[in-house]
Amino acid sequence: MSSEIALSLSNVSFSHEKGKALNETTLDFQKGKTTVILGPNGAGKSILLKLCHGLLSPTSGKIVTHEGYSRSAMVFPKPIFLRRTVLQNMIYVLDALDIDAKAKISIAQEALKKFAMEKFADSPAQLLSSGEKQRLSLIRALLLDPDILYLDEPTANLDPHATRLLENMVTESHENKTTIIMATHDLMQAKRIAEQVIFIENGTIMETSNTVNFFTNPKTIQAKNFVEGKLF
Amino acid sequence: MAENSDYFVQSLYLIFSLNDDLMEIISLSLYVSLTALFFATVIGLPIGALLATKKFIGSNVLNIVINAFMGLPPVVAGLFVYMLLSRSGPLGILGILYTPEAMIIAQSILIFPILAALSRQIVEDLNNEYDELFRSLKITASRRIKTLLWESRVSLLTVLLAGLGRAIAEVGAVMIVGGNIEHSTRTMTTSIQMEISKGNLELAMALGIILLFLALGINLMMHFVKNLHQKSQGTYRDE
Repeated sequence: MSSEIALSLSNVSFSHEKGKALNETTLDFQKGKTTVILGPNGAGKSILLKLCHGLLSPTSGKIVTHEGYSRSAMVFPKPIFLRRTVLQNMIYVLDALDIDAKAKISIAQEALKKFAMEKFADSPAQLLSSGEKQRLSLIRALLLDPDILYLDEPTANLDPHATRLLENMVTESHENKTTIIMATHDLMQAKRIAEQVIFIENGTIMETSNTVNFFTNPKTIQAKNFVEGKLF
Repeated sequence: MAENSDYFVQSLYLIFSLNDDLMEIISLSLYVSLTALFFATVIGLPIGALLATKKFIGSNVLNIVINAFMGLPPVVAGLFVYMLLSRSGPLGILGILYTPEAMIIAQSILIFPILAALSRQIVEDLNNEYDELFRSLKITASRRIKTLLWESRVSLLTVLLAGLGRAIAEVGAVMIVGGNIEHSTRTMTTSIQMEISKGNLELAMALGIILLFLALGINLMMHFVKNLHQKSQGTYRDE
C-alpha cells in the first residue's frame, strides 16, 4: 500500500501564536495524483502545504516522505523573484544542482521555450505581470524536477485567461507523473484539475474523496455547504 | 573679505598646479581611508548579513553593541588604538604607532560598526522578502548570505560611501595614532587643522575644496550606478 503513497501525515498538529491552525491530521497523498485541498480562507490549507513541503515543522505528529519522493518544489500565491532577469532567476534554482554552467543556461532556456516564455528571458523578472510571474514561478519549480509539486493558491491573483494558462501548465506537468498537491478555494478550478479532493475547515480535515464523489455527494454538511456556496 | 578671496585664489592655484605637498597629503588620505574601508567592508558586511539572517546566542547583544558603536567618538577609537599599539600595549611589538597602518586600524574600527549595522538592516529587510523562496529552494546559509549581499549591492554601495565619508572626514583618531607627521602620516583633515592653527589658510582651503569635491564626485558616481541599475532592473526599490 505504501508504494502507492508519496507522502503521509500521521497525527500532525500545528499551532502558532494565534492558536491551533491544524488539528491532529492523518492523511496520505497518493503518488502521481493531483490532489486539491479545498476550503475557505483561513481554513489551514496553506499551513498544511507548508508543513508537507517542510517550510513549517509540526507541533506534534510525523510527516513521512516515501522513497523516491524526496524532491519537492512549491509555488506561492505571490511569486517571489530575485532582482535579476527571468533567465538568471531560472538559472539560480539550478545552481544548487550539480550541472555545468552551459547546461544550466540551455536547460533554463528550454524550459522557458517549452511554455512559450522565451521572449521574457532577458526581461527583469520583477517587471512582469502577475500572470507572467506566476507562470514563471511554476516553470522555476518544474526546473527542479520535483517528485511532489505544491501549489498554494497559484491563481488567486490572476484573471481567467492567465488562470487557464497556468492550469494548462499544471496539467502538462502532471502528465510527467509529478504528484501535485494544490490549495485553492476555487470550486471550478478544483473540478477542472483535481483527481482527489481534501476538504478542510478550521484546521480540521472534514472530508477526503475523489473529485466526482466530492462534488456530487459530499459526506459532511460543511463540505455540502461549501460546494453549494452557502455562507458559514 | 579681500583676504579671503586671495586665499581662495591661492588655494585654486595650489590645486591646479598639482602642488607636490598637496598631492602627497591627498594620496595618503585616500590610501588610508580606502584601505580602512576595504578591511571594514570585508569584516563588516558578512557580519551584518550574518546578524540579519541568523539568530544565535548573543546576537541581540552584538546588535546593540554594534548599533551603539556607530556613534563611537573618533578620539575614543584613537585612544583605544593608541593604547593597543603603544610600546607598553599588547600590540606594541609591531611598532606601527605613528604610521599609516595605525591610522588604517583606527579608521577601520570607526567605520566597521556603520557598515555592519546599516548592512544588517538592509539585508534583513531583503531576507524577509525572500525568506520563503530560500527555504523552499533549500538554499544553504552561506548561499543565502551571498545572494542577499549581491541583491542589495546598490543599497550597500550607499553604505560603503557613508563609511568612506566618515573615514575621510575623520580627524581625531588619525591625529592620535598618526601624529600628523609630515611626509608620513599627514592627511587632509589633520593638515587642515594644523594649517588653520598656523594661519596658512590657502592650503587648508585647497584641502577643504578637494574634500568637498571628493564627496560630490563619490555621490555623483553613486547616482550614476543607481540609475544604471534601475534602468536594467526596472523596479529597483532600495531608494
